[in-house]
Amino acid sequence: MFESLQERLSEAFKLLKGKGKITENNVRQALRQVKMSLLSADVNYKVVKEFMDRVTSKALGEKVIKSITPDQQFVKIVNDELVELLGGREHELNLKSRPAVLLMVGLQGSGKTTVAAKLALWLKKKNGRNPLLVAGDIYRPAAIEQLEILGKSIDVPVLSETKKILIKLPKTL
Amino acid sequence: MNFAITKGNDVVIIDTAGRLQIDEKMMDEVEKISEMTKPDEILMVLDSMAGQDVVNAAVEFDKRLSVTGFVVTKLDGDSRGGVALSAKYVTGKPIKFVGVGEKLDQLDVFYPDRMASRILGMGDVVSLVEKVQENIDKKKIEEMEKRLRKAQFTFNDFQEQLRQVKKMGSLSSMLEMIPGVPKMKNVKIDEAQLTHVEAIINSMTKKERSNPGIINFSRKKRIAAGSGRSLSEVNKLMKNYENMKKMIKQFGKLEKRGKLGKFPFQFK
Repeated sequence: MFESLQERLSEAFKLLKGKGKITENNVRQALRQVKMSLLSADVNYKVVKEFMDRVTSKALGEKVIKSITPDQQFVKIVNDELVELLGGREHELNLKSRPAVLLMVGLQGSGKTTVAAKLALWLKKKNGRNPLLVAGDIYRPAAIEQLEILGKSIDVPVLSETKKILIKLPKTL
Repeated sequence: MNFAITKGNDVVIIDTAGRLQIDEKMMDEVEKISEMTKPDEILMVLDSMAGQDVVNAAVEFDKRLSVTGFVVTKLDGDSRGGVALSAKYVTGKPIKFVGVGEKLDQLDVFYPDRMASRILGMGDVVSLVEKVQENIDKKKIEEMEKRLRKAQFTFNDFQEQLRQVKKMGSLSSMLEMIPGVPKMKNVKIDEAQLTHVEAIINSMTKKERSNPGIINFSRKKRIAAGSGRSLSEVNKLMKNYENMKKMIKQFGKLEKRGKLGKFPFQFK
């Protein structure tokens, strides 16, 4: 998971490690390396820019350069901003209504059907809920069968009668 | 929906067909489905292996459907992770889950702070502990501990330990969560070796497992043939076992003399 990003970032941190005194130039070098790591990890360039602006303004302040452990201070700044970038805290599912309805959408091949089954299992095991899977992929061959088999393996009912309703949909559009 | 109510299901998960954000007809369809079913959550599944364009797709889907969150999949693969890092910022919608493997239980709640420390190579001890607690059978461990204290450690215990460890997933995925380890690039564990050890133990008879003392040369030869491993590997395992037993005995003695408070490894 994130191996190459991890490796590149640790290069950046190494630039500041073990140095007694740190100049603004050192920090700038490390910042540059962080930026390159993110870009090569395919992070959207707008995101990288915003992220770097925030990290830079924090890192170039007195705090890092004057702190006793500048490398750790630097890692902490990057860490805090990363957490922020990733969403800050965890976000729970809204399952208050009964039945709660979850709709899975996405591009082809991203793993919707598998995630649907995974979610069903998770809800069953961790939340003690009683999920129902609804097959709605009427285009891809064997998509419904896939969900049926997955449903059987985790002992969750699958509704595949939707086929008839859904096939009518595109025509009415 | 009515079906769900009558059958007593309290969560309905609707799977839809994959579609491109530029396919008007398909986007209209999913909008209709959304209107009909009035979902509490619209989760968009993002493939972390795909490149930058996924982010554009996410924006477009969000515009049409007002997505409530993302599930980022295939994070266990060789993905660079850009999608996971960009999605929240670009759309303002959070990532709620991550898929980390092919098996159906390999879905994790997404914790930004834990993910960040993993990316920075600081490990993720919290998740590791949770994983251990989830998968380890406390009762069995306690039983094993009792036997260990009496220095009655047999291959049955060994087998049980291997099984418990395996339940938690691959060793390398666990190592990744330990601080400092991700930085040591050359740490490679041979997972195959574990399988070999298990095969050898499985090839023993019940009697041999609970009473390893009876394993003589001809038995060793049979075990080697049965497990498809070499005789020297069987010997090595036997030797490791003897060493382990000796060590456990010593621990026991120390404990009796009160030098050691408790057994050094405890799952409580």
